[in-house]
Amino acid sequence: MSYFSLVLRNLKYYRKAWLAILAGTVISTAVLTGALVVGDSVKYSLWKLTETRLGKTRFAIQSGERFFRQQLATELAARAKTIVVPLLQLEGIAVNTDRNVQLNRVEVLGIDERFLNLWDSPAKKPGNEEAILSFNVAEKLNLKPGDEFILKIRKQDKAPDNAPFVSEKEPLTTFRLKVSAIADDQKMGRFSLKSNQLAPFNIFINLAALSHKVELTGNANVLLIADTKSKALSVSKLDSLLRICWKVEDAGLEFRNLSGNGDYEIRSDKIFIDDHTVKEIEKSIPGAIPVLTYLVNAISANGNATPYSFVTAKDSIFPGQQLSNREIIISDWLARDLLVKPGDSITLRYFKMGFFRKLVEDSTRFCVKMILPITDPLFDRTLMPDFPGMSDAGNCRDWETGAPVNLDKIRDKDEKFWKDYRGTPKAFISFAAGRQLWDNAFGDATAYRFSANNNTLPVYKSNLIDNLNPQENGLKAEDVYIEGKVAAANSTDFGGLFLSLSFFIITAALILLALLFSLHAQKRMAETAILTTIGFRKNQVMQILLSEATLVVITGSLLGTVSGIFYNKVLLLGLNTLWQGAVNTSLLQVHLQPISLIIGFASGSITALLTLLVVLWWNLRNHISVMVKGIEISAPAGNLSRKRISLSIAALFFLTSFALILYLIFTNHTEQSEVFLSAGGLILVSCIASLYGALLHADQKTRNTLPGFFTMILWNVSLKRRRTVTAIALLSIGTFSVIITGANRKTYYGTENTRQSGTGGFLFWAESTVPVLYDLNSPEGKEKYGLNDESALQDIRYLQMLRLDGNDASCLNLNQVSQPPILGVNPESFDQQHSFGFLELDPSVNEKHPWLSLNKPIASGIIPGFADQTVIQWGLHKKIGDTLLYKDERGKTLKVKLMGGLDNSVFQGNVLVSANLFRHYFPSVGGSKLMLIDGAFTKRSKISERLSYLFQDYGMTVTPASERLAQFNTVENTYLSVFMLLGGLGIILGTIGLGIVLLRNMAERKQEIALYKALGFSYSYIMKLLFSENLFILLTGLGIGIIAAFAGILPSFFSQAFQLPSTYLLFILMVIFLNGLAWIYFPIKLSLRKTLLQSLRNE
Amino acid sequence: MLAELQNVTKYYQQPGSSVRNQVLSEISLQIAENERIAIVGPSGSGKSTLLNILGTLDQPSSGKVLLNGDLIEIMPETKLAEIRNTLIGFVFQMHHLLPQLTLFENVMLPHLPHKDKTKLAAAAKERALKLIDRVGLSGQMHQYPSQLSVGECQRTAIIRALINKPQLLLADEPTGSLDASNAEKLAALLAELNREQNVAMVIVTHSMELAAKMDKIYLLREGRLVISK
Repeated sequence: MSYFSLVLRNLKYYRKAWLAILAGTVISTAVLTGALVVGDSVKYSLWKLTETRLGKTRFAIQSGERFFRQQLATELAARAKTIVVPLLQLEGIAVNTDRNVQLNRVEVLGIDERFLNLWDSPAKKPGNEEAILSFNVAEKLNLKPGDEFILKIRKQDKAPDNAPFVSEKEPLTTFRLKVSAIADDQKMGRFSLKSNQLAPFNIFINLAALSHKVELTGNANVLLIADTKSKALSVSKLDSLLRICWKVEDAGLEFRNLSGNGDYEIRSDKIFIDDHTVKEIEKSIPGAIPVLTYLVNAISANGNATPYSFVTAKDSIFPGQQLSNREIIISDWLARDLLVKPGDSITLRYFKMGFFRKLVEDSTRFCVKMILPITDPLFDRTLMPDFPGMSDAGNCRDWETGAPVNLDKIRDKDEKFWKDYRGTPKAFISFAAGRQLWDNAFGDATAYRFSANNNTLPVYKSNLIDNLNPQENGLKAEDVYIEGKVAAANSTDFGGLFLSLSFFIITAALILLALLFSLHAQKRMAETAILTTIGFRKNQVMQILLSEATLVVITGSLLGTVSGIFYNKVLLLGLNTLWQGAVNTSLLQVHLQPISLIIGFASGSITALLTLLVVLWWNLRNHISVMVKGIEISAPAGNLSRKRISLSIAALFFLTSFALILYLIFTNHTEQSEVFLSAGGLILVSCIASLYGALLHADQKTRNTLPGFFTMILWNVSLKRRRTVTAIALLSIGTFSVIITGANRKTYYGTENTRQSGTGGFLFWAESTVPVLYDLNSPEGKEKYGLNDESALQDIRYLQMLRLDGNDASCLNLNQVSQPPILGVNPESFDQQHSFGFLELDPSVNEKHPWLSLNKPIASGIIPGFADQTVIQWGLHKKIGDTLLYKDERGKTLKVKLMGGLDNSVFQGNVLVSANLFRHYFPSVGGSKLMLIDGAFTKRSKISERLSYLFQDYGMTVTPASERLAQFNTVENTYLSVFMLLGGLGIILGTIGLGIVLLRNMAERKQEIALYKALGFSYSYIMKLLFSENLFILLTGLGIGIIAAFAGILPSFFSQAFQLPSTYLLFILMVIFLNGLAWIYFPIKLSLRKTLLQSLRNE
Repeated sequence: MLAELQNVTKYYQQPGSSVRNQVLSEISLQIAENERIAIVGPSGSGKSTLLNILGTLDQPSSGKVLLNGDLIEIMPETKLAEIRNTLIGFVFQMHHLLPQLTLFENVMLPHLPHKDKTKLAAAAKERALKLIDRVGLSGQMHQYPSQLSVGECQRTAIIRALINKPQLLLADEPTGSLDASNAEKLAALLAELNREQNVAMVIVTHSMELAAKMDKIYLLREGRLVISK
């Protein structure tokens, strides 16, 4: 016989015990492996999703609201030797009028046949009046191929919305389209350049038709680039190729030949030429002169006024002569109208455009230096910029200026001037003076003029295009494929998450394992002793038992690893269906990584073996002679010392916990839920320790009288107190975990929101498809949008925000993002109302007025920002003090330094900066697509209804702020649901442990039971006695868990928003209790079935 | 001298407690080769403790224990295990056969930790077969303990103790679990084996019949050893 055969014999003989241990190992390993595989599966699914949403796209160039030639795609494709696809990507509103369903913020994608080349099985290219819908759009709008629907898209002007004198466009252009196909995920339906597992609402329409409809014929704002076969392309290579291919038109510039005699002009389709381009023009074209032509409200002198005239700021009017800052040259037409002569003073009154199209009128006096005839070549009608809504107007009364025009002031002679001279400037000032007066965020010049000939013109063009940088005009290649893969690889760690969610079930399985093995080791104590007496060394005995354990554990871990795969399938099924709130997708698929399976197997084996090793060491720690005798000589005095230790621990922990709770309550620190939770944990340990002490006391108590029923119960449970306390600890920890988890489910519906809450006390969160350009709190804004006519909207306050689009960094997006959307907010409003709470602030931030710190730029190109603490920590993997990198509108790096972490708020997923600083870096974002709305809670239904109606054409969705917060809480609540379920399974394992303890006790007490019978105790009395003993364990375990948990959730009771999910908790506790009762009742019943004779015969 | 106890005292004391529970007091005992000694005494007099100390399972609180002239208190646990494996054989009141092993395997079990087990495997097997035959259990050689009678189990336990040719057999109430007839047979067997196997015996017993078959009888009372035969 060899050691190995002895081990095998032992395994075979003790197979029942080892099978139970095997089951425990299978459970713990399966849970461990399953959790790890869930992590892999989620990452893999997101990884696959990157391919699904990108097709063959590898790189992308996105210029947002800057548009370039579609032809650029063809030119770039020729040089890059790959597929380059132009796209026109806009936001729109889709309406199924038949069913009266509207879908806001849909992605409208103008595509041509090149886009279809990016997909393996694309849909057919849509015709001019056709559209391909993504599956989810079709589902939401209830549309099928052949159906018609309305698509509303905002007309696109290249000029920024809030540039001076740019007319406000009609919000939407509407057209009817026929559904040509429904595109599922594999057929480009899920196309998106954003790293997000949420399916976008895509509508694909014909590129030519779309660009024509929105007045952007021949333009695009996205290029998609497929990789070459040789994989030779890179971001830098593409950027270089782009520099070669791009033209001044792609920068929105135009060279105009003014007269055919060598005078040229450069204009921008944005009307104003930005500072950076100005520098490059001056560098590239020698002698180029800046021109700034502005519309003034009135030119007045001597009590006379000429309304609405253009004035040009320009230098070098006459060679060698320079106008001073307060000198003006006027036309004779103006001189006659105002009755002025050289040397007279005239006043210019003009508007300056503020935020949200707020107009501020200002005036400046000038001295007339010279009067020139209107026929002088200086008075050139081409100096007027192409203001949309003005340049093409037939008469002054048709002007659409974006600024108020008082038609009463327009005289017949003004109409005649317009007819004869159009927008010819009536006066000239120096460029420096013009810049001083009409400086704005978009640029200082409306044109540059220069002279050139056939030789120099191409050189100038070439110089300019060489000096201009595509990146500074929004044309920057991105490796969207790699970014997507990186975002997926760094996505939410579901492996770690599920490991922590499964903590209790793993712990329960290990405790069960320890209990089972301990019982088994005790059973084999005599064998251990005999082996020692016949010459086996203690470590040889240990080796034999450990070898058995190792074989069982390895087999169990192997089976557990395989079971873990199935367990993972169940978890993924749950995540794709029941727990979809945690992942916002149903596309998760199982993915097995060998390394995770190995880690799962190894972790399962090691944790189980370590547990068994500790148990074995504990059981073999006694001296051989003690093992041989099978008794513990040292019991009484040792118990005394243990009793003292137990009771001391109990007292210390209880007093600490009590002191902590009192301190937090009386110092108004009830928000510190973690400390309360710790106090609850201390109470739990205190209760278990005091119970152990009490059981030791019961065991030692001098017994001079006949015991009563309850004393007998106490004596009996104290006999095997370690088993008793283990079972109670298992039950109480489980109950504690389940109640804590259940009570922490976040509920905000129907509760009053305070300013400090995550809603900031605001009633609604509104998002629109079309930007709202005016301040809704101003009289102009109210009038513009008809808010004055609505009685329900009289006392409403709007907090409009500016948004720079980015990747959602909220918990709804599983991918890790680096550039979340930036929101420009008004810090003063939040400061005045003390809105929102902070979890962490940078030390430099004033704690009393944290919001105001957003107004102070940290350095050039570095601004402060706030974000939800959860977003900073989990979404961005950053901390307070870290910076996020962006490119501003001019292509320069903008750093947002995270200075504060908000407590769970409606802003989750975004970074907040001051609106003033936002406008400085992103001046083109003129309107607001986002706002918080403050109003009376009692009128909320009416407010929501009226706002949705009034802003229907803006595609506005009005969501209660509490509902938005609840959406984020859904994720956390789903995690808590998973935890509760897994915790519940853990408790069931705990009750199985209770059952095993009971079965073992019953086996050991069969003689005692036989004696009861022999002494004439009735069946019902014995049943009652045994049942009560175990009921004591069950109820004590549940009781301790409940008491400790309620101490742990004490702060929640101070919150008005807290609603204890009592029904759910009662249900869970009832399940635990009934399961426990079953595990008590049936073993006792089974054991009492044996006849008296059988029991005594065994004895 | 095969084994010798010199002024052995044993008491138990709990940490932090001044109370001592004295079990053995100044006991001296010499055991010669092939000698048969019985130790009798009332329950709780320390007989088993004395046997455990003699069998290296326990250490005395004071005094010395010598086996073949070697002081055991300075020996490492490995050496003590080797002594228990080769020099000493144990028999208890309960047979303590491993239920998962057959009679033959139980007998061979002490050979497993033997330092020369490979070299002596054939010899051990032959000796086991002879011993099994000697006690009349050849027919039950491949049966499990659960298939044997109590007497057969106890005989198996005795030959298990002899498999490694020990010089000293320590038996703690070997007939305690047997009926009178079986006890009588076992007592006779022990006496025969003492002669045949040249093994010294120290038997702790309540049975005066068994004690009477020994060369010397010691009475252990209140921790002190008194010779009575």
